[in-house]
Amino acid sequence: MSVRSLCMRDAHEDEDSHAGSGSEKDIMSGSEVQEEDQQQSDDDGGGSGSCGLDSGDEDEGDTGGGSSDEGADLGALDEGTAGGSGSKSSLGYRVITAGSIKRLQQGAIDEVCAIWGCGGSIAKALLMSYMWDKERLMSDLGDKGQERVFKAAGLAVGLSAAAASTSTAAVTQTGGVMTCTVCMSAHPAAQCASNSCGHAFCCDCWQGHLAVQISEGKARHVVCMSYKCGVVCDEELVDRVIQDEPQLLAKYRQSHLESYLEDNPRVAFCPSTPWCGNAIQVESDPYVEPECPCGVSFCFKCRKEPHSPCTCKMWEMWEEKVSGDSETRNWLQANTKPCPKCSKPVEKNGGCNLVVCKCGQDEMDARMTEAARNHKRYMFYFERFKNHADSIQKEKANRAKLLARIAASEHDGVHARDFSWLVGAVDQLRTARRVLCNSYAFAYFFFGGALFAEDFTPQQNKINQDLFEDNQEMLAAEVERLSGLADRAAEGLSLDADQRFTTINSSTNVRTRCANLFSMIEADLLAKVSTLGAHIAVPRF
Amino acid sequence: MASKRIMKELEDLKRDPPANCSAGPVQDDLFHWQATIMGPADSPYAGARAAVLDYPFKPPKVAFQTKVYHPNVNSQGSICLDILKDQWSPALTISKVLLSISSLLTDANPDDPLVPEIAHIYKSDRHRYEETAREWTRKYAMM
Repeated sequence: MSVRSLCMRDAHEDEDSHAGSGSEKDIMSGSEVQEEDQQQSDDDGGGSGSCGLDSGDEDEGDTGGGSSDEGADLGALDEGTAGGSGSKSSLGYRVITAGSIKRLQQGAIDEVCAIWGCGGSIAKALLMSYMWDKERLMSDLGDKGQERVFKAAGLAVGLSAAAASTSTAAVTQTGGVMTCTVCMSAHPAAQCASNSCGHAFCCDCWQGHLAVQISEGKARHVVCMSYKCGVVCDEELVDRVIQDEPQLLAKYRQSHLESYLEDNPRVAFCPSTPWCGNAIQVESDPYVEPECPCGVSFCFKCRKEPHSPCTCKMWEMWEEKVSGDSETRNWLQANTKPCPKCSKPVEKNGGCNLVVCKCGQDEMDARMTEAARNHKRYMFYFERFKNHADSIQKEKANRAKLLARIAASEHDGVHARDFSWLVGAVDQLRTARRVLCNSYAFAYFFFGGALFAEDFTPQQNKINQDLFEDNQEMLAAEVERLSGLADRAAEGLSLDADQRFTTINSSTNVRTRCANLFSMIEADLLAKVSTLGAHIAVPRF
Repeated sequence: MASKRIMKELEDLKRDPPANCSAGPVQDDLFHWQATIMGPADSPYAGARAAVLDYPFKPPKVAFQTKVYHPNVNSQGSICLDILKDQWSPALTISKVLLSISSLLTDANPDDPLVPEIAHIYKSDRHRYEETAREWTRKYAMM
């Protein structure tokens, strides 16, 4: 008879599959992203790979400008990519760097200008008020009419009679001197300026007003000084009035620029720590798992690590299960009984039913409970999840080493391009491994959990599970094969054609099987779920 | 610039004083003002202090010095009035602010209260509210 007395038992080791992207970050810390060949662009069709927008899979970029100054970064690189700003990225998202915000923002503004025929300053104010949602702005302009939309955005709608009489133009015509109602002194018209609403004040007062508003963080919505006017100060006025205050003007412009990121629900900052300086913009669907050039990938919807095929909800529950002590508690509940004397949990791990606690108390054994069965089920999936998560870490380290060695080999005269097939295979492996890893969490919730219990009959569920596991196993087998092949190829960095051929072949197989798994999940599982919110990101290969 | 405008406002106040308020700087400090606002029945309702820093681009900071029983004035004397906060415009003047406070004292805004208890009494038992307000004025303001 063997007995253990225990107070606490870790059901699992700490899960930490997301640390350690440091080495890649060092390579990619620049804020400019190099345009590179996307490994997938050949397969995408449609030629969208040529748009030059930064998409997810570049990794060998060298550091760019690295400065976060607006405007100044708009160098030759961005000029080169500007042609693609209107085209769709095949991955469903694009990377925004410090240097490309201005171009993207200007693109959105230009589009509104072209459609509505207004000036850039008005288009920007409208877009800021509509959180950069061009479609909603356009439909409101059509449905509600220009006047209402402009008014809500703080834009002038025609000059009111009172305002028109005080505008600088009016003053200039009637003698050239006006009394500013803020400082209550007379100024020549040349030293006064009027906003688009028509209200005129002296430039010094405008400057004082802007200085206070901008320093209070209201740069995106500085309104006219006139009581109850509410019209936003137009950019021409701001530029004129604070032109000799470069710091203030820079702060104003920076704030307007950042509005494109901060007020835009289609943009998320890369969650890397320390922040790499990039942001991600999705095309439309938030169910995307973008990869920032700094090496960090995340779910755009919930901002957590990529978890497809799990839904955000599943992932939240999985994380809680894995990281919380809920499983420890379940395990204790399932496998131990509190000693009647000292009340410490006692585990019976073999032997007869007579259990003796350390404290000397005898007690009778319990049978295996429902909780124990649930825990066993969880451990089945968790072990597989953990194995793949560990492999991801290992392969990540190997990948960094591989890249370094390829870079070093360039000096020996072997060009890096010669190994693009290997890097491509390793990247493919990483994506597939992550899918495989998360698929165990998915299976834990989908088959047998309470989450979808009402959507499938037990028979259906069994068929689904078998089908799913077939796909999963096929993917797992090929992933392990590719892992071995890539290891061997990376070891020698050989240029053996046969080795190259088998690796590329296996890589293609992995891609196909991954796609199969996803189409099975989408068509046979998620499509039949009536519960709302079962959306997942599907990796695009 | 600020002191020039304040001087100007002071001149205007002297030349054309508003009906139910009086105001002026504390000693010779142009940036700290003392004001008296007459209540509804010509009773000296309350004394207030105003600090006009960053004026006129930021609203003056106005607070009652005497205790006032009012849904929009709390026990510290803070006043809940839109033009003293987000509706401030540099084109407004101290004289206009005082007028607004004066009209707030007469017509409280119980739907956006600073002191919900007083607002509740104001709405449910107007008579009791008036009584208490008069009582407070007698006790704290008529000195």
